Amino acid sequence: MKITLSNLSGIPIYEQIKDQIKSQILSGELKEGDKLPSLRELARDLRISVLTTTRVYTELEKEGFITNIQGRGCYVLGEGSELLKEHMLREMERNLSDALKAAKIAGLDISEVHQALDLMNEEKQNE
Amino acid sequence: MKDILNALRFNFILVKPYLRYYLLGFVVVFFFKIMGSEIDAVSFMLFMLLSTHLYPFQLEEKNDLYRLYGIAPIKRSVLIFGRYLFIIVISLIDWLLAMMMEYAFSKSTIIISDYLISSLFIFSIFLILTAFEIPGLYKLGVIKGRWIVYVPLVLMFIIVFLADAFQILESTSHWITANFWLVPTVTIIVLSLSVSLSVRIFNRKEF
Amino acid sequence: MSDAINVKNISKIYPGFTLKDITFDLPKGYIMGFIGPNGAGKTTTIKLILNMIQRDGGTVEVFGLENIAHDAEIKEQTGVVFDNHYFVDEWTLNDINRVMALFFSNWQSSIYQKKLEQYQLNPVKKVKELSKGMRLKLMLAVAFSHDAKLLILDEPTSGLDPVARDELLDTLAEFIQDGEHSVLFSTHITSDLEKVADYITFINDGRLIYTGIKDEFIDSFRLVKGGKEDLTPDVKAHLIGYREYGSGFEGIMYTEYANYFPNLLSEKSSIDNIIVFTYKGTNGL
Repeated sequence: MKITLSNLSGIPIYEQIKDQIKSQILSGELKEGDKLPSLRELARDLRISVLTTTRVYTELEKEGFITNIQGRGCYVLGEGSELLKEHMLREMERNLSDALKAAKIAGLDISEVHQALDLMNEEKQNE
Repeated sequence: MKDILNALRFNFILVKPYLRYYLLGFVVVFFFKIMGSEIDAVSFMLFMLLSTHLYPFQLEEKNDLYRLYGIAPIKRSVLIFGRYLFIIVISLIDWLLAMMMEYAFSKSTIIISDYLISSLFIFSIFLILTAFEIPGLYKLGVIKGRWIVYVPLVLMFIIVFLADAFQILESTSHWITANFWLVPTVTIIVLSLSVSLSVRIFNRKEF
Repeated sequence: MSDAINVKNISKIYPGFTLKDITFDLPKGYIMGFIGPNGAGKTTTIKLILNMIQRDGGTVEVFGLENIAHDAEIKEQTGVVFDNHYFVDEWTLNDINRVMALFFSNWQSSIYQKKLEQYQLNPVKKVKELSKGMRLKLMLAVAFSHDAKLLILDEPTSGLDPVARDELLDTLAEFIQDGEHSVLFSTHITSDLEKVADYITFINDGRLIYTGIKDEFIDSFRLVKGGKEDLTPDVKAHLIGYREYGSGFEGIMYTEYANYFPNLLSEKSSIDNIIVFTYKGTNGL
């Protein structure tokens, strides 16, 4: 697991860590069943407060990305996780809502939005 | 009990830098004796020993050792007992050495029993003066407290001088010899009072 | 027992200075930064916790035990580091080993010697021959050699170079790894705490200003800046402390107040600035 923190970005530390772990899980760098460093190990390595790492892991667990097995540690949950699916569904809905708002401002109608969506999907399939 | 013995051992390590000064009295008297002087080894060495009581206190103050006492899991009263025990042990050793030296260099024959009685009397006076000095050192610190032993010492000389002037010195010394059990008794009482006073002072001290 | 330290409404009265109603809790397994300007009362508070001076009010519990009744028991498991060593300067590091074995019933000579080796301290050297950084390591070696569960440090880093300070932070982070060890770290060099501290207690002039989670502490204040004309009486009334200069001013405000003044530039403050401006504010500077 790779975490790089920036003190100057203005983004809270816990958010930076959360985002980086999330993106590594989503990109597959962190695979289902991978064991994450313990709260305290992570805090020590990153030179931050244990309460900060606790918050990160707690929120990631709530959002369905990881699971905490008492006495064993935190493990990455795979794409099969229900919580994760729910979370990603909500994220998709949020992004779609943003997309529709932007389309309205740009003066596009709903069929143009559909077109753009299909085009993007094709490109992603070809990647 | 084990605590107090540890506190005693601690005092020996504490005065490590000043160890040589403890031997000074012995060396000086030895020098005098070699030169043929008739000075009483016991009186002289014990008198010099009075000033060595300062050393553990000096080292404590100079190094702010109270912080060590503050963080150590040892009761303040145990530290006091250890300090008194240390002084008594050092004094006993000194006293025995002085008596041995006196015996080794004696030119005339000594009646052992008489000598022991007078020697024990001097040792008791020394302990009583010590009993005055220690609480003074705890209360006032080394700089002001070092003079506190001289007050009873001066008083003592005045009393002896007056007793001599009123010619009751001899009758008094006979009376003391006849009731000699009073001497260690008074010494022990005075020392006990001294210890409890020191404990009270030290318990209130802010580290 | 879940807290390392519980301090409630403690106070101490001196002729020229009063410490009053200091209250905070240090949960087990965490690091608390104890901050405030010089003279704020940090050392006094620590001495009250260690029962080195008499308190005039309040209660103190360490490991859930009342600190006067259980003085010795608590101290067996508490390691203390002061800003200067507390030994006879003529003692060698070996002498310290002998002394500590007399005072601590669970003193581990072997651990002490291992620590001396690890910190590269020569056992035959005298205390007075040690540099400031070595003295800190010596006190840590002593603290670690009697299985201390709580480490209290009072201004350990003043006079230390950045490398030594950095090493200390590593040592502290390592110390709390198992969740059973706790640290109370008083300092006025707050950049150290900005990183590893979990909790912060901030006192000023003998009074408690804040105690709680470090992240929340930093988030409850804002550094606000503006031009001369922005410094209205209303703004001044809401500033904890501020500094005027040629073209404007800057100061510290509670975050919720800072939101009332959208015309001012508002940004996250460093712990240092919070302390400096609070101090300025109290002293009418």
